[in-house]
Amino acid sequence: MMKLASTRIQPRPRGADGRVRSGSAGLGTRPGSAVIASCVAIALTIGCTSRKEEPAAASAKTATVQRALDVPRDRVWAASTHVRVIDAAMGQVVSGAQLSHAINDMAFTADGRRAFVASSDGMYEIDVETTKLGAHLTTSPARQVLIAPDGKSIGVLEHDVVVGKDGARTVMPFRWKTVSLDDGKVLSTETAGDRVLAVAPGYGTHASVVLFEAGVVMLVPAGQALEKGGRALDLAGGQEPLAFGKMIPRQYLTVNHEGTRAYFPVEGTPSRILEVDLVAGTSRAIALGGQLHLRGLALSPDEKKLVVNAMRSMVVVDLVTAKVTGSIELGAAHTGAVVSEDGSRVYLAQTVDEKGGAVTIVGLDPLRVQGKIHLDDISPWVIGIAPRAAMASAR
Amino acid sequence: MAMKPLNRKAETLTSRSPDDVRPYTFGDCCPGFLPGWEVAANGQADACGWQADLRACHPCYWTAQVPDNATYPNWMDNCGNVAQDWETGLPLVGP
Repeated sequence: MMKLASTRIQPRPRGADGRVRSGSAGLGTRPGSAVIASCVAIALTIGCTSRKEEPAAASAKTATVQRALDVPRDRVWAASTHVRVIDAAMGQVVSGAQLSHAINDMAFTADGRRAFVASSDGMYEIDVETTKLGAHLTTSPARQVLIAPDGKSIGVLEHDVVVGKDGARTVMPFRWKTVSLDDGKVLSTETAGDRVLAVAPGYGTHASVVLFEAGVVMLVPAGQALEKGGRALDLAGGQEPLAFGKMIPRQYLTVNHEGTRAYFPVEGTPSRILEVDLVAGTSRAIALGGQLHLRGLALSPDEKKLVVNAMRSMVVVDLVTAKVTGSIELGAAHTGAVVSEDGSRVYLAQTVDEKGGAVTIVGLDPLRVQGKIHLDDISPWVIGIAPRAAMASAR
Repeated sequence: MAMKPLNRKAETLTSRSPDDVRPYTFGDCCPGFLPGWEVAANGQADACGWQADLRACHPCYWTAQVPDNATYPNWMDNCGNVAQDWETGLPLVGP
């Protein structure tokens, strides 16, 4: 049986029936945590609900309770070469999967039942409820996985390395392979180009974006093969660099739910986010101010905010005004970012925390670090959240 | 054995809070002339304090220190816990 990592945050106390007692959330065990106040509010509010109330008053009370229940309820998936599933409310690892291959990306189906990881050994499926490894869907090293907006297929960015008799390695062109989520069959395979970092596919209806290690980002017109290329995007996007002129796109590409807008970070002075409208074929740069090392992007559920992992800090961008609305120091280097389903929190992977790693929780309103969950046995560099639909159905 | 500062400049350097990642870079990728893989800011054996950013270096081309993961996709397969595994889990890659 797999040994799970212990955490420094204590689990919530349980009653004789095994249920977690309210008012004692794991994160609240940290001195000074505002979650303590929230939990006290929960206890106080629930204590007042024993008397009979009018429906309207009860509804208002319910809303109050929901507001007071400011306890993270997310199942956070953190991964390095293995996967650890963290119950954010309990503040501890509750399950995991041993893969023993470097994991480069992860994605979940909308119903939250299935997870897919891109690893050095190809793409694997993991059952969200049991965290058991499922189908080994592809075998070539994979960098990226992305579920299509219609939920029927998953794209995987993969390539092969040919090792010659003299040991010389030849990196073959990267491919964008589309796999059916119904039966796991390969629906299509398309050459994307040499040394590709990430792809935002157009699905035949709009333009695609291809990020290359060489620092070039191509906008490929709708219906055109990825390998034929297209127009190189202007990474400056009206935000000309102040020094050295070097701008490097990073691989942390994210796409909105409809697959019509892509965002990727570009390091430079200043560092910026490039937003690409895949339907109109236009792009704009959003300056972040300063030379930031960018290590992750995540869209809020309403797609009005973009959270930027700037390694030792986190920046929040309002996509309506294209302005930075806040930033917060994280105190250590982080990789990746994911926003909770209710849009209230961000989870970031702290790759190294003492002799292990950690997941840092940042509240968005107000913007503040809410806590950290230590992981003893992995140093996570990929992070995701299982959609809550799976947990609701699993209970 | 920990290294000890022998002059004022060295003392100044050691009194600073350790830079976790890349005070010097080539292009955007990996550490250039940090102390190296051998010595951390506190003088102990360490991947010069930038283990936390190893994954971000790995996709790039600074093959003198970190091989790119297009050529060596399996390089980090035995390094699931970077802080503990980097000495034994990361294979040496020759030219």
